[in-house]
Amino acid sequence: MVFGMTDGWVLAAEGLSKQFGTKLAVDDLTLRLSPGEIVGLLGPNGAGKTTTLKLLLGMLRPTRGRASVLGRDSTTEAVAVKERVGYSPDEPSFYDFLTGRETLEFVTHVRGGNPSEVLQRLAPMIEALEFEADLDRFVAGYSLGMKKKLALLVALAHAPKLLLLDEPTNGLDPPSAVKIRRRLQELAERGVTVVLSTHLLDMADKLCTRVVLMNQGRLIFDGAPSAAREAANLDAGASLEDAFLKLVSV
Amino acid sequence: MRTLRELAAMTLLVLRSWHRMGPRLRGGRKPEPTRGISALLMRLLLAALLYNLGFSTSLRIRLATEPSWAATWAGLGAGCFALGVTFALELPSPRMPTQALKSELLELLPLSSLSKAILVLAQAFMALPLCLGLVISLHNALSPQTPLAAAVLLSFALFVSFGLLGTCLGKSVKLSFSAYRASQLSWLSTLPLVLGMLLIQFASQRFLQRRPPFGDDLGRAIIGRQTWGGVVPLGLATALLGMAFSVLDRKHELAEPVRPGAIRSALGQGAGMPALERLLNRREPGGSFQVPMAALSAGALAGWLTWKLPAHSPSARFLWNAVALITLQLVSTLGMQRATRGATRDMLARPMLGSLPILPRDTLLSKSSTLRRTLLIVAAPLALVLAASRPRPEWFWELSWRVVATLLAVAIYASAATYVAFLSAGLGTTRPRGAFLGSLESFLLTVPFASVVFAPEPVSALLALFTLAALTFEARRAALRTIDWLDDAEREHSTEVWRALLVFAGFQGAQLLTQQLASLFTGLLSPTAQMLGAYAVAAVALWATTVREQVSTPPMQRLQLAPLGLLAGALSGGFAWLYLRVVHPRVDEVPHLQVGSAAEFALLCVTLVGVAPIVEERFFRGWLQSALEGELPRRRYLAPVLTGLAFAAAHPAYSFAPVLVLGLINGFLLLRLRSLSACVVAHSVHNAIALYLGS
Repeated sequence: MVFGMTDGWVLAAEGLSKQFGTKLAVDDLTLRLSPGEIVGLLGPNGAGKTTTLKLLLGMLRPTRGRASVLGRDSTTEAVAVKERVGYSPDEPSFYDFLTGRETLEFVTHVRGGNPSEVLQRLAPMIEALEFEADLDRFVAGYSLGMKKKLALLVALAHAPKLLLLDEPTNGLDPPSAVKIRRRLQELAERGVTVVLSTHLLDMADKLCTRVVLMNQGRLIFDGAPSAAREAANLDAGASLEDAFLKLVSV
Repeated sequence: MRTLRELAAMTLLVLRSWHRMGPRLRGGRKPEPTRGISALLMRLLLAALLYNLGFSTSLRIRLATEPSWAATWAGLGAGCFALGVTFALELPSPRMPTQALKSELLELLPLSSLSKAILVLAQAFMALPLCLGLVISLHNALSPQTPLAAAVLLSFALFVSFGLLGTCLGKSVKLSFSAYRASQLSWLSTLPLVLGMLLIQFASQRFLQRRPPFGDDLGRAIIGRQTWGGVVPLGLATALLGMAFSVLDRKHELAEPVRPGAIRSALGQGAGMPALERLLNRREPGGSFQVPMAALSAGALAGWLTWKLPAHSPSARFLWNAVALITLQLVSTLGMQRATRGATRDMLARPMLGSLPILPRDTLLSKSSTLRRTLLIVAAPLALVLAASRPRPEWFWELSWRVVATLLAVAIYASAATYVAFLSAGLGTTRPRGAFLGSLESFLLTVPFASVVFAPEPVSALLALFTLAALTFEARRAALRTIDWLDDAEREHSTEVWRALLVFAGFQGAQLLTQQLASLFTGLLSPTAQMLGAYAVAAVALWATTVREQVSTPPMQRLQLAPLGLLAGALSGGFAWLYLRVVHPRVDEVPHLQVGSAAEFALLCVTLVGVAPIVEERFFRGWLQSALEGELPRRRYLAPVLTGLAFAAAHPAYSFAPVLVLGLINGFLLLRLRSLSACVVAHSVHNAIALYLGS
C-alpha cells in the first residue's frame, strides 16, 4: 500500500533528500499537500526548488526518503507519476523541427489521449495567451516566452490533478503572466493542486494559498503568506519580500 | 595589426574545429581524455588515406592506354571531391554544433573575404592530400625530368579552383533560398562527392577511355608533360572565382538561422515514437532525399557492376568486394549521421522527454528500429549481386551467404550506431559526424562491420557478427546509463568497459595510421619492418593509455602459476596449427613473413613473443575483462567470452578462430586463477608457434 494515499493527500514527501557529490541539494524535506492548494515554492538561487520538483516528478532519484504523488511512489513508479502530473520546466526545450501543435499532439499521444479533444480543451487558454499563430511554426523559431507558453500548454494538456510548475511566468510578458495566474486560480477552485517555484514574491503573495520557503536545501517555513509575516515578526502590511529576506537571513 | 588579429582568429578556429573542442570551449562537461588525441589522430589518418587513394589511383593510370585522358578523368574526380566538400561547408546547418566553421559563424566574424576563403579551404583540407597524391606520383612516374614544384603547384591550383567553385555555388544557393531551405539542400553536396570518388576509382578503366570534356590538356598537365599549361588556366579560374566569392560574400546578408513559415501539422493522425522519428528525420536538412538517393545509387552501382564485372572477375569474392565497398560506405556514413542527429535532437529535448512517461529504453528502441529500416532499404540492393550467379552458378552459395551476413550486420549496426550516438552526444566525447572514420566510436563499430562484409569465409563472418553484437550489447548498457545520467547527474555517467573499448579503438587507429604512413616509404622499409614499426607505436600508445586510464588495479600476478600458461599456450597453439593446416580452406591467404636479416628476425621474435603478450594481456585481460567482470557481477562468465571476441576481432580475419580460442582459454584462466602471468606465458607460447607456422 502506498503511503499518503490513504490520508487523502495529493502529495506526500517524507524526509526527501538529494545529494549531488558533496552538496546536499535537498535536505530532509517533509511536505503534504491537499487538493486545491496553490503552493509557492520560494527560496534564493540554489535553495533546491528545481531539485525538489524533479524529485517529486520522479525525474531524479532521491538519496534518502520518498515521495508519494497522486498515490504513486515517485521513485519506483516514476512512469505512472509522469503520466498523471503536469510539469513545466524552468528552461523548456522541445524538438526544434516540430511545430507547437505537433508537440502537443505528440505529448498527448504519448499519454494515450486524443489530440483533437486536447486541442479543443486548450483552445481558450491558447486564445488567452495569443498563441494561435505561433502554434503552427517550428519550435526552432520560438522565443523563451513562447517556449514557456508551450511548456504550460504541455503541462495542462492531459488535465492533471497536480501541476508542478518551475518558474511558470519567467520570460513572459505581463498580460500573459496575469492571464496564467487567473487560469491557475480557476484550476485550483476545481480541485487541482498547483506547486510553483518562483522568484516573483509579489505573484506568490497574490496567488498562493500557502508558501514553502527553502534555503540551502532545507525547509525553513511552511504556511500561509500571512503566517510568514508573523513568523518573521512583521505586521500584516509588510510585504512577503520583507518576510522572505528576514526568514532567509536567520 | 588587423592581419595579425585575423591570423590569430583563423588559427584558433581551425584548431578548434580540428580538435572538435566544442563542449570544452562552451564551458560544458569535461570531455573524455581520449577526445583531443583521437580527433587529431583520425584527421591525420583520413589525410593519409586520401593521399594513399590518390597515390594508388596513379598506379593504375600509368598502365592505361591513354594516360593523359585517364589523368584528366582522375583530376576532374579529385576536383569534384574538393567541390563537394566546400559546397557542404558553405551551406548553413541549423544544428551541427561540432562544425565550428559553418557559414553562420564565419559570416559573423569581421574577417576579410580572403581570410574567409582560406578558412573554408582549410576546412576542406581532406581534398588536398588526394590532389597531391595523384598529381605528384603521376608526375614523378611519367615525367620525372620536370621540376616537382610545378606538380605541387598544379595540385594546389586544382584543389583551390574547384574548392572555390564549390564555395561560390554554396553562396549562390544561400542567396537564392531561405536559410532553412538552403540547409535542406545540403544533400546536393553528396553528388559531386560520390561522382568524384567514382571518377577517381574508375579513371583507368576502359569504359572511360573516351575524350574527356576538356580534351586532354588537364591530363597532360597532371602527368607532367605540360604542367604550366594546366597551372595557368587553373590559376586564372582561381582568380575569377576568388572575385566571385568576394562579390557574393559582400552581397550576402545573414538570414535568421531557422525561421520557416507556418507548417501544416503532420502528426494529427498518429504519433507513435517511430512515426515521430521518421517525421523528424524528414525535416532535418537533406532528410527527405538522403535515403532514396543512397538506395538508388547503391542499386544502380550494384546492378551495373553485377552486369559488367562477372566476365572479368577471377572470383565471386572479387565481384562482391567491388559491390559491397560502396554499400558499406553509404550504410556507415548514413547510419552514423542519422543516429547522431537523432541523439542530439533527443538530448536537446531532454527537459520535455524526461517529464513524459517514456522509458529511455523505449526511446532507444524506436530510434534503432527506425534506423534499421532505413539502413536495410539502402543495403537491400546488394541482393542484386545474386543475379551474377546466372552466368556463374558456382558463385551462388558464396554470394548468398555474403548477402545474408551483410544484411544481418547492417541490422545490428543500426542498433549499435544508435547507442553509440547517444553515448557520444550525451557524454560529450568524440562525436561521430558521419565520416567513414569520423571518430573512435564509429571506428570501433566499423572494424567488425567491415570484417563481416569482407569476411574470407562464413565462419569468420559469423564470428565477426558475434563481435558486433557483443559491442552493441555493451554500447546499449552504456547508452542507457548516459540517459540516466543526463536526468540525474549523481548517477554514474560512463562505464569503464566503454572507456577501455575506446582506448582499444585508439590502438587500432594508431596501428592503421602508422602502417599507412610507413607504406609511403615502401622503398626504404621492408614489409616486416613496416608492420613491426606500426605495431610498436600502437603498443606504446596502448600501454600508456592502459596505465593512465585504468581505474582499478590489475589482478594479482602470481608467478608460480606461469607453468600452467605453458600448457594453455601449447593447447591454443596446437589448435592454431590444426586450424591453419587442416580446417582452414584458404591457407593461401595467410601471408608468409619475409624476414630480410637476422636482426629483423630477432626484432620480430622480441615483438611477437615478448612485447605483444605483455601489452595485450595487460589490456585485454588486465583491464577490459576485469572491468566487464565488475560490471556484470551476476554474469561473470560472459566477461571472458566478450573479451575473447574483442581480442580476436583485433587480429586479422584469417587468424580469428585460433586467436579466439587463445582469448577464451586466457579469459577463463584469469577468471579461475586471478593470475595475469599465466595468460602472458600462454600468449607467448601461442605466438611462438604462430611465428613458426608463419615462417
